[in-house]
Amino acid sequence: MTAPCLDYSDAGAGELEVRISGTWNQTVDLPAREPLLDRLQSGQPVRSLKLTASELEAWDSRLPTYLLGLIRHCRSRAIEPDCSRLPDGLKRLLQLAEAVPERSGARRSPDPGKPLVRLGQQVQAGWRDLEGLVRFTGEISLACGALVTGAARFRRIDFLIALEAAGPGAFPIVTLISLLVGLILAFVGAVQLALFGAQIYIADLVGLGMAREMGALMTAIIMAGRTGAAYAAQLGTMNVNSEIDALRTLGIAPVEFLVLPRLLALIVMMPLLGIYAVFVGMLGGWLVAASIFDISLVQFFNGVVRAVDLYDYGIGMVKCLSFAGLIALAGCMRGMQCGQSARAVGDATTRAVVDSIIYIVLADSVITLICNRLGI
Amino acid sequence: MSIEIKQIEKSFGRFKALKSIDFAVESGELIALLGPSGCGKTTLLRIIAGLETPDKGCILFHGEDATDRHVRDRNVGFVFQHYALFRHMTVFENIAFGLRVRPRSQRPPEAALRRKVHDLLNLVQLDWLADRYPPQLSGGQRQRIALARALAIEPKVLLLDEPFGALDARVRKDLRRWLRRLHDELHVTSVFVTHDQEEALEVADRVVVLNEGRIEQIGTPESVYDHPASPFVYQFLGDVNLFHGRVHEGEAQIGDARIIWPEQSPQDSAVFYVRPHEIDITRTAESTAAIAACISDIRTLGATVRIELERSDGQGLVEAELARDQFSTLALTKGEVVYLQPRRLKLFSTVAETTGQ
Repeated sequence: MTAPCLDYSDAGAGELEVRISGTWNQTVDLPAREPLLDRLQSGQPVRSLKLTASELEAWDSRLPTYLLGLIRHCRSRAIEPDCSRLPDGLKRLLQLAEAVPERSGARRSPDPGKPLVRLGQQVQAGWRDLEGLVRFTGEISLACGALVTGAARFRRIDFLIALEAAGPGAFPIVTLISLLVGLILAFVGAVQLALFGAQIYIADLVGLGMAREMGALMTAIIMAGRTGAAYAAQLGTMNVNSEIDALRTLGIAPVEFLVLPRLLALIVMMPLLGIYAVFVGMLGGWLVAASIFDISLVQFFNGVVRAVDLYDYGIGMVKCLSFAGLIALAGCMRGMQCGQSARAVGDATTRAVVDSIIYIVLADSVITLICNRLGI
Repeated sequence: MSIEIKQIEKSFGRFKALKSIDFAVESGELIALLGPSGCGKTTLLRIIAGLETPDKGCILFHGEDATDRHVRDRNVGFVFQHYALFRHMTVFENIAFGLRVRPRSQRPPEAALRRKVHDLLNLVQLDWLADRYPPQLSGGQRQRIALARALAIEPKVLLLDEPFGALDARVRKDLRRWLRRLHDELHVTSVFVTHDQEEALEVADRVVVLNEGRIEQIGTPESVYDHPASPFVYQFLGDVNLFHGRVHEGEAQIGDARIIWPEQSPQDSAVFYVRPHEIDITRTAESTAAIAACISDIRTLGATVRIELERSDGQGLVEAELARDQFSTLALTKGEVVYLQPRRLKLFSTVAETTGQ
């Protein structure tokens, strides 16, 4: 057994003779292709490549694979490979390999591309997302306009079902979360206030914190995970099942028929849940105040009444309303834009939740800033 | 209502789904759009329905331009491959839905609506299922309900997107005959998409064969099957054997066989297309027109017998199909050497033929 060898020499007239010899099978290391490729690139220009294999011993499929790479490389540089002197079996295998063109799309994963390309694609995707958001907002606005003039068509039962799912259905979890948030606020505040002997101000802290901020925010986050995700999943499934197309062909605007009842249900229910969350949170705060500092319910109540204005509740409600709109927007948009596979529904749900939380936090900051500037 | 499709083009990103599609559907006709998956047939149907907008070209409904007309104003009934029934409504409500959601002025009174829905349920022979929910029905029943729902709005055009694609073979066969009878009763202009050539040939008045976004051929089922316009249509409309050879001095030469074919102009390298049932098998070479082959496999498919043969000159496999009684008279066995005689050859110019060489 001799080692595989690939050597080459000029045969004149731009022809390069490549001699293949030795054993070419899986037990040996194949010679590197690079010296030959370098020769093709530099030195005297080569126009054709004559492949010979008179001293070839044993070989297996590694040889045709190796040669195929070489032949393709030659073709890409407009060098004509001449395979006519190769053994018959090898020639046939090479022909067979070249006979069927590669099926497009058969490769497992497309080339991810260079970092800059990927960045560009991401920017484009982001831009498309933004376009989608603007278009969807417009569609919802038109639908709302139709609602005001009484031309919007949706079934009352759909609205009631959405109302039931967004309101009473979310009651237990809102209770639990806001009670705990009230407790946490009180605990964190209690440690600091006790340093100054100002324990009584726990009532102010919890009351203001819940009314202006935490009540609305926690409710919104619960609703984003619960209702926003459900909207995306429901509409996404309908999309996959072509039900949305079916609605269109029956002459119904899907945004009016599917999105409006859900949006309205959230807008009705969120402020109610929000105000409920505020009071439960205050109750949680009192539990801490009573158990650690022996503050009575009346004392706590007086503290809250003194500290929290009607304005503060108002800000909370304004936040609830805007969050409701944003959650419904994000959930319904992702659902309506959902692709045609079961996996797309999962993606749509995830993105709906992520989007809603981003929108919520952004809107919260903007509202807080505005209130701060206006001195409310 | 007649439909005219003029120069329709549509791309998705860089992918050209439809390239200059042109054809017309007569009023009351049942047309099949036939093609392999990914050839653009569903896109074309969705463009006719108004669910997609074409990049170029226009669509005329009854001679009027409807390209920019909204889906709800086109008055089309659409049947989807996966039924797209509303899952949270009963069968009755599903069918009534299209009528119930109309503006109050156009809505029929409740009694008329109930009568209409029951008429439709009778039409699709499923009156007894009115109170069930879609998940409780079988696939065939669901598709018939979907059809009833599409018909409820009295569409001028009925569009069906692979309506029987998700059903099993037996139900599919029943349903397509039923669809044909229904169409003969109602005479509503219909376009249906399918990738199943048998379905298209059996049901449609005319067949439009699509491939890679282009129309390959339009014609009645018989003309498309008997006179395919291109190798693609030949291969798509049924199994086919390819013989490589040449045409020389009024003879088609395949290997050593010489088949007399006077009217054909000479060609050095030709590909002949022969359907499996157009091949005769004999025990002895009766003329020079026979190709020797060895039987490598025999499969019985109900009324016909499919025989796989290996050509003795090593030029590949041939499939032949015989009727059952013909097969039993010949009493062929595996491993036997027999002679093949094509009854009919079809030749396409090799310039167009790019694969398989």
